[in-house]
Amino acid sequence: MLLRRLAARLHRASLVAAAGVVTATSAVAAPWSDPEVYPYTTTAPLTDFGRWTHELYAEITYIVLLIFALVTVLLAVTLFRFRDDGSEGNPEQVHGNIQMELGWTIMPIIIVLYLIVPTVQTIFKIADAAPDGVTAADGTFKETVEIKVTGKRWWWDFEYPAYGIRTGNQIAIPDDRPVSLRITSDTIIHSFWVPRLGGKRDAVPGRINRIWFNMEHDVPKGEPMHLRGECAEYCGEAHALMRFEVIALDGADFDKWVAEYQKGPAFADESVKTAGEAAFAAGGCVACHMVTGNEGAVGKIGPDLTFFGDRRYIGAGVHDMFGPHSLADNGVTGEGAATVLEAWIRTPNALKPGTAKLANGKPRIDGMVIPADTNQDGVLSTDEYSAEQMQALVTYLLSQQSSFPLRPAN
Amino acid sequence: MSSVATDVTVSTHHAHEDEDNSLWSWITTVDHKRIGKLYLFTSLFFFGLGGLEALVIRTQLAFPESEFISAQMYNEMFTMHATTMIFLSIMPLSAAFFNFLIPLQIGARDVAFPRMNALSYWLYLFGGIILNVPFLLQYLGGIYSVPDGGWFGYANMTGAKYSPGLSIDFWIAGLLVLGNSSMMAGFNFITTTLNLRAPGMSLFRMPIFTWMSLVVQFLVVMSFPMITVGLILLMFDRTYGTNFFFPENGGDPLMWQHLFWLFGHPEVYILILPAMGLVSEVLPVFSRKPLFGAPFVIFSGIMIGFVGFGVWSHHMFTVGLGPVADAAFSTTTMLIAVPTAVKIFNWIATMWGGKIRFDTPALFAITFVFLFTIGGLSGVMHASPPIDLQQQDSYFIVAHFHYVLVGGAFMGLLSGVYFYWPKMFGRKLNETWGKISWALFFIGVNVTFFPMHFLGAMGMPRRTWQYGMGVGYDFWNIVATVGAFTIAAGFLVTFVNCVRGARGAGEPVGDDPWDAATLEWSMASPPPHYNFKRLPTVHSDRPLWDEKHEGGPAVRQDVIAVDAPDHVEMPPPSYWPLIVGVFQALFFTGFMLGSGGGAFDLSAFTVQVGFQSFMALGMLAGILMWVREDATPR
Repeated sequence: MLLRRLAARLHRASLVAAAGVVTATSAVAAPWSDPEVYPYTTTAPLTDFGRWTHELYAEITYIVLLIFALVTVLLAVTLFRFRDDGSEGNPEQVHGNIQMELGWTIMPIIIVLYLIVPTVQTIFKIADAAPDGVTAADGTFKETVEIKVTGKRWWWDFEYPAYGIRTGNQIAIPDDRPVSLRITSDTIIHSFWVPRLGGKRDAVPGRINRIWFNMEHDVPKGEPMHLRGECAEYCGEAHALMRFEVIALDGADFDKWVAEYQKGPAFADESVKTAGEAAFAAGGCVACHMVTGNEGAVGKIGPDLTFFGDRRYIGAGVHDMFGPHSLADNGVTGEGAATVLEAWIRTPNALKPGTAKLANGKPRIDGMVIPADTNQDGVLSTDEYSAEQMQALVTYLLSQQSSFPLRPAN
Repeated sequence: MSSVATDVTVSTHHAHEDEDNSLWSWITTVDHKRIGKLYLFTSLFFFGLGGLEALVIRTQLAFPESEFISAQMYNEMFTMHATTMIFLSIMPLSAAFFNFLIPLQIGARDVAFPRMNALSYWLYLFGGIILNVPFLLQYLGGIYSVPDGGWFGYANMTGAKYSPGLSIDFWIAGLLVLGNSSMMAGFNFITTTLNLRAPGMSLFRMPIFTWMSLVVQFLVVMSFPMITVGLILLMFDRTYGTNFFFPENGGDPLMWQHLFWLFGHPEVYILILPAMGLVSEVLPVFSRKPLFGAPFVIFSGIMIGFVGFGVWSHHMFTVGLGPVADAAFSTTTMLIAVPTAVKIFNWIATMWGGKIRFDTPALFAITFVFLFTIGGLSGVMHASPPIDLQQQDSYFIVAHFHYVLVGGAFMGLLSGVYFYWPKMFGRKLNETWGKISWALFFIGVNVTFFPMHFLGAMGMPRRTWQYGMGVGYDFWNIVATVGAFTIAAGFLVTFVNCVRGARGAGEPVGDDPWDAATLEWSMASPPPHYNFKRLPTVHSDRPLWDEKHEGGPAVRQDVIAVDAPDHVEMPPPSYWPLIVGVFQALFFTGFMLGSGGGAFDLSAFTVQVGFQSFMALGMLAGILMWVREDATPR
């Protein structure tokens, strides 16, 4: 009788546990893996590095959910079965049971050992040095793409040393060869995180941290894939607004991208270049920003603005220049990239706190005096720009497009 | 065993202190029970303050691209929320129980050093004031000073170059004072527990709460020196322009992380072990059974304490320590799951076969077991460094430690508040409101923090003032915000319940309202200020249960103390701890005067040294008077 009741209870309990595990399992994998809805999802990795960590994650998650279901059922059964029924007398005074206690000491040890083995294997697999490259199916050797990542306050500086390319807040990666990142910072600690490429690594001043990976997703030719990244380590005022974009390209497209970026933008209308470069110099922009092909623009303090027209976001991934923006509070009316860009140039600090403190309408970054703030003759503050100059500047920046601009359609 | 639990040679009998409820009697009190109540109400106040900061955070995050508060203010809010909750709320709420319970549980008349105990409390209060005064300075006085470097204060961002102004200086001064308070209390309770136990109260007859507290005190006195060293080095960097943490001159920002987490991880167990101790007291009483496998529970607590010192780098899996360190710290971290699992199974086994009553303390204790399990299991997940590479600094981590600290530590402590309230005040807290508060907490904690697991998996990073539109975070954020206000309602109910209870609401309930088993229930509620008129002789780990149910020897005071002498010597009240505390708090605040903005400034340094010399003299004079006071019988 007792046995049958116990068996019935156990059966019911196992049904509840099974239902719980099934629900939880679907909860682990499914709902937030859709990158259309969740661009930063951690559960839909595209690389080998991401897959290794994700496989471990899935395995440990199932074990943990199973344990949770068992403990919950055990607790629920205990609370229900041994609730005070109002009867007289005290229950049996059990002080312990050494066999049982040894059992539930050894059991977690076994589970932990079971978890540690794949964990340590994955740790060492991730830590392996990046390969020099990969031999493609047609026999050509493709060298590993190396990108130097530097966390800034509060944007990202990227360099491809082998190609002599520098970009700001936006990188391109190929899908047919390894990519190796050397991550550092020149000021304070940040953390480089593109969830779909795999885990994050901190950008620590004075150190170089590496991650490398191979894309395992075949990007179709001519259809760049847009991935989003963000800073994961608290780094002060604008930490939340320190994002960046990754464009994954087909291998041949990537080679084309490299060639175009090495050459610099071409202008269909030469007057756009002339007027734009003049406006770019008039405000002292050249002291901090580089544009390949613009002889005067040599500054390295700010993001490289070459092929600015490839960008979709302004302010390190903060405002979508092509999407609906919520800048009405900042006095920005109208639509379109030119409107947002002009607002950004005029009042960057209003659009992104901490970025550039404006003193007398002139930018001041990190308390550092930059040329535009020294009242040199002929250097204009953004307030002093004429409408024509601003128009020329905005057009100059937005018309620099490579074959792979980032647009909402992508 | 000494019959006088005091550090003084000559003591005076203050028979009427119990009735004296004047402000002066509270300011000069050295009675561990009164100090415990001071800790209790101060920490509940600070919990309210930290909770308000949490509500501001959740309101800001309720909607995408929200501009409810500025980015700067948001950073101040999460910094102060965490600092307040950890140092000014959960730790002192535990200290309320250390103070009130340890002497009662081991059969002592007070702690070993009653005046140092008072000093600990004053330093805690002043540390809390130093941390919160910047709100007034900044928002009323315009002096940029609210700490905004996170509770972890990562160097080199917190150096003078990237955090100018006084914000981090206030944070350092406040934490130095609080650290001193905790270390002093730690030594005090270690001495008390080891030296002042009643006759027959061997270590393994000590109640589990006292055991877990003992482990915690060792963690405190060994881990707080780490953060003290770190804070002083950081203060040197900020004030005099030294280079401990600045890489451009050969310093290392990671050294701060090591020092901080060498403190920071044991701190996690400092926060959770007292709650585990309280739950280990509550569950047996409401199951009417002894704690299942008490030695296993004790040893697993000790084990957690030891291993807790060997896991700090799991907070640093993303900084690039290399595969060997990652593997080692991953292994030690996962091993912590073993003693934790042992405790959970022992608690369930305690209830198994019992007669479980669902009074408010039991509801909170059972909730602790359930919610702590969730927090512990998610902890096992990011104990694996590859997984942590995705979870570190995401909302998944926020979910994890809030389950441990709110669902775990705070539920356990509230269980203790409802359980020990009758012993503190002679009346129960209102049960109906207690259960309403419990329900609000249970719903609120899960609605707030469970969705954060999802947000973490969606890639939402921590400490973000804003999230963009169209990244899928909207729904669960608004849910979490609703949950946060539910928690606030739950806390408000308990807070009002406590204030009403302290003002005398409810019927008197006698000495042993829950039919408990341990020594603290053998005396009057509330206990007289000398606690035990005659020290009982203890024969088992459940002396009161044995007397009531098993025909064991008497320990109840109304039985054994009938013919006790009328005169019990107790330490006299003193205002010197308060005065020493004022001078010490000012001494640590004085470092700010020497600030040369990241470089050595001789004139500022002279002012600082001058000011601090006076404060040191004041402190010294106070200590001298404190010592002399003892030599003068009154």
